[in-house]
Amino acid sequence: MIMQPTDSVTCANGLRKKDVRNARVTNLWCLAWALTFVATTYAVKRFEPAPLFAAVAVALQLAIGIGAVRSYRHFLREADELTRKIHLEALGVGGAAAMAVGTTSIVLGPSGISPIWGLALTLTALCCGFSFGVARATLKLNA
Amino acid sequence: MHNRLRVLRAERRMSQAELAELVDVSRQTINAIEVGKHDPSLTLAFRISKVFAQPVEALFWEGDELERPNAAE
Repeated sequence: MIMQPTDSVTCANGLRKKDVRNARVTNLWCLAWALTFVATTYAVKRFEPAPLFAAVAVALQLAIGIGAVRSYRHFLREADELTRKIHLEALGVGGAAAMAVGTTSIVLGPSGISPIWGLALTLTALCCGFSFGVARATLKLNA
Repeated sequence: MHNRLRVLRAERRMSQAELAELVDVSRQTINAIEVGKHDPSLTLAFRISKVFAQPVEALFWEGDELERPNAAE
């Protein structure tokens, strides 16, 4: 029997430690982006700050968003090839769901659906589609 | 694509996790390759062939499962 190396590169669940670490970093970036998005939107609406302060808040939110994207790209580049395949399938499902809901909301525009609701529904479809895609591909490929 | 990973691992009494460690992928990737749900990249195929000290074509092949190249050897 081959002995398990003491400095094992995989976790107990079989995933590589660096993939788990990169996923955690990406999740933290996304959480920070979501929090700054909510805080910036609330602060700009509620307090109507000076233009300079509002610009700084928006720039901070944008910078954190870019950080989240860079972190996800790093995660995908470093990821185990099965994880990358799972995320590719999930991005396809999420993108397709976002396109379907986004174009439907544009078509329904003259019927009275507001653009902000259309955008919110499109982002929701993207997130739900991506999450569903990850779950489905994981079950399909890991079973 | 078919492969002999499970047989070669069994011959060497090696677990999926141990092979995964040696070729720097997750255990789930090795399992998906063994059950035919994932075709490995060329880089990974070469890494696996190096572990078992066999040419890539002796580990992975297309077509009928029984039509493995050099099966008679």
